[in-house]
Amino acid sequence: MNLDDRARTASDALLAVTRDDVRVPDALDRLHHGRTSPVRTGLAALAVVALVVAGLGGVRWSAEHLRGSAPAAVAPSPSTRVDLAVPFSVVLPAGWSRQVYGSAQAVLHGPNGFYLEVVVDPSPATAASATTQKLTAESFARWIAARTDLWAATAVMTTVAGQQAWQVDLLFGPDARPSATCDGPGVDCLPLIRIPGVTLPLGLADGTAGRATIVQLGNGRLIAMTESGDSQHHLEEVVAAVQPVLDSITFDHS
Amino acid sequence: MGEPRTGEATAWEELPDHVGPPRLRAAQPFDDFYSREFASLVALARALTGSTTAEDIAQEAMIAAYRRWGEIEQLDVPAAWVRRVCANMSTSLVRRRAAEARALLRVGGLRREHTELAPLDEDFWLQVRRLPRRQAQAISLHYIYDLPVSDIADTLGCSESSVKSHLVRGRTALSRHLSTDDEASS
Repeated sequence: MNLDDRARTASDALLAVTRDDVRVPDALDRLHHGRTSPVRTGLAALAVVALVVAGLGGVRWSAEHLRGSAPAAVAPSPSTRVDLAVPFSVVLPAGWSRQVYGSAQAVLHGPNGFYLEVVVDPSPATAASATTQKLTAESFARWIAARTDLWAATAVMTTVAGQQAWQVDLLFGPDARPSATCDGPGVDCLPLIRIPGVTLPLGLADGTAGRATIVQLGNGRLIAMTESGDSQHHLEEVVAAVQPVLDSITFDHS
Repeated sequence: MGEPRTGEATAWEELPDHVGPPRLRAAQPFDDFYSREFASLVALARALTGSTTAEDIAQEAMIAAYRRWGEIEQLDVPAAWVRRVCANMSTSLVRRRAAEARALLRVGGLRREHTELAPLDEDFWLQVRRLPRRQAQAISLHYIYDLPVSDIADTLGCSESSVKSHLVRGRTALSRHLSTDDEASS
């Protein structure tokens, strides 16, 4: 068999099995109803971490600290303690550093402009989400996933540092309109997470993808972690780069 | 024309054509475009990645088109745009496959299954994926879509001479690795 014959046979076979496998109406329905695939929704992360891709079109998950007083940068070390209201330790690879903003917020910066943001005692960013029920990681994640202005995957349960967590992947919906300022001037977003003691919320900037993980600690407190990228695929790259850092986190419950 | 608005479009589509602002009718051409192109787009992604995530890549390319449909539908060949996005996403993913594989191990059973190809066909696409990025894209577009050189050049955004070069080099490498009659007779 010559190459053209072999290639056309292989192409015909590929097209045939793909047409059998793919349910186009279902896929189109997912697109219209804003549901991203669940395939990549299960990676473990820690609390609410916002990974901002600086230098690639602006801040993604953003917060007031980005334009607030200058934080103290700490050089990376084999094991770094982060003294938030819920302290934790993390092993930062070469090139990583951390910045701590008060007692509720820390950002772990990677060498490629990624950063992972950790928020202690987060809450939903909009007043409409106020409820008399006790906020849990699950209810928080489900509230995010239910936002109609986002394309969100179903919230999935995972673990972070041995703690139960709920994780949801997000994509800025085509119909979404930024409704808040989440960081420096000119950067608007969909507000998602309020940080204790900070006026401006964390949110998802236009055209970006993000991952939020809400960790449920044994004492009822929550920690939120977010990551983001310019697209879903870029987010995966970010997630892969950050994963070793997340895996190294241990909470100090003392 | 603005971007199609998902929720409104769904409601308006149930009304007669003369009802509703014209811009909302854009939703229907996109759906037609999607229905026509999606399966072959998944095939392109699978050819270039060999991955069960091919459908997600194709979907992401379609989402990109949907977000800019007002512009994309004005192009001479909207399909060329989405194929290029898909091809680039697919080959970009290949470069990250080690990291992705490690990540997906954590996800366990969430990966979607797909029908396996016959070993001979699977081996062909495996060899395509081992080609340099542009060669793999050109070969895949040529055989999956049966595109001529000029259309491949339009799709990939390069010159026809570049496409010819990619195809010749790609085909030569494939003949060598697949031990086809072409290689035996050369």
